[in-house]
Amino acid sequence: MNQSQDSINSNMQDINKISDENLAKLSITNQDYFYHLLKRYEKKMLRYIMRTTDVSFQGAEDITQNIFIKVYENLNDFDSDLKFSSWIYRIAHNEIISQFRKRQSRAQTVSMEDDKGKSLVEIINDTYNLHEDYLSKEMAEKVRDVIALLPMKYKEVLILRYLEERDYSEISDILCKPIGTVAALINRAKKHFKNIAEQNQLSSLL
Amino acid sequence: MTDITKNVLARIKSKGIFPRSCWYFWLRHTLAWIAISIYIILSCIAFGIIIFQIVDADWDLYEYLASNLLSFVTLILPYLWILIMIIVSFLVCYYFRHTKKGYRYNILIVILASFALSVIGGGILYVSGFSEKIDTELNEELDWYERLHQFRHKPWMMPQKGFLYGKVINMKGDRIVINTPIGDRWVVAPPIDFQNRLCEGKMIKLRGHMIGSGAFAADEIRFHEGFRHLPPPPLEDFESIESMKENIPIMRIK
Repeated sequence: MNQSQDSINSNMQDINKISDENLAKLSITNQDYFYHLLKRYEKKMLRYIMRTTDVSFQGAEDITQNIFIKVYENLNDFDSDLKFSSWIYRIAHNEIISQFRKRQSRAQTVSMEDDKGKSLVEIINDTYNLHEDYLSKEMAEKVRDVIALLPMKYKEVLILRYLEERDYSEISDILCKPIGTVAALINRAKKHFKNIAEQNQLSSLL
Repeated sequence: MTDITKNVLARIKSKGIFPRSCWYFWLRHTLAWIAISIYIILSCIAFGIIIFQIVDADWDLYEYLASNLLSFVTLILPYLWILIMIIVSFLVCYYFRHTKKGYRYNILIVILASFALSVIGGGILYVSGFSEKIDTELNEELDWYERLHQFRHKPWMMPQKGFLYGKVINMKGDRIVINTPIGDRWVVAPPIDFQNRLCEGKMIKLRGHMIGSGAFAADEIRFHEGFRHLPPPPLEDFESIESMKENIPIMRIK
């Protein structure tokens, strides 16, 4: 019993050592590897969808399942020059856009916290030297509304940069845009955020 | 919270989903590159014909053919080919952006690179005479293409001013009969040096003067396809090569 448990633990350690990219290659021929790959991204994808869209948790789960099915179908198209995370986020981005078009409605809310409990408000405020003392719950809600008012392209790029902590090159691969365009988009998104914040009585903090 | 991973694997099993074959993706990417190559070739052809039609325009006669240089330029611009080139360049950019790594390049760089390729390719096609050949073939084979060019040749349809344009439909002795795009028939006396170079079906532009109703005496003939495709004048018409050289500027072959 102990021996088999040790063997399982050893296998798990081995799998944990395998990179996402190699796991993706191995998944083509063995679904067990695909299981482990999905486990690595299950929470990340759910969180990303919840942040970017206004769907319910149930809806986010459905979208995540669709994303994973697409990942499986397109495993042979994965380009090893890319990070696997960039590739799966790209599929997620396309699926979200597709769902967004189907629903014909704008996303309304954004989940505001990252893994460390640091809010988007704080992260973006760092850019504008906001005083953390002023960040009240009420203000967080206002900022959430501001984020919701941002066009999808700005909202997504801010979430990818500051909450998902992706670098410019990864965002370029996810959104399929040149790095220069990504930098300009982030810059414009910040300005847009600032403008809307000013219009929504957040100007005192900017 | 449902176990998404397990659900996904169950769905894959129940629906019999498999990763798509490598060949499927290879074919998709290859087809995209084939489409890009075809569009680039088309763009080169379009640019080659644009150069030809602009260079082939009767710049030396612009004062007679249009009120000023600007109206002459607007008259001779090959709008159809410019439009084709714009559409094809757009398609090149579109397909390139959808290749595996095409998105990494700035759209301006892609447009400029596509334009540069068209200029180089079009230049080569023009210098090799291929552009002239295509334009002439299209002009002779497609009625709508020829009609499209009518406005370019409109100034050449003023016989009273000494300009005439049409297709040679008959050759009798030292006279030829031409049919203008508006359906008029003219009996033309061509310059002697040109008689052996004319054949039925050729589109020609004539400079000269009216000698009566439906009769025209030509001092100069210009061929649609330019000088490169003209058969050389028979040597017996000239006393020597030297005399031929002397005659070339007088003939003003274009």
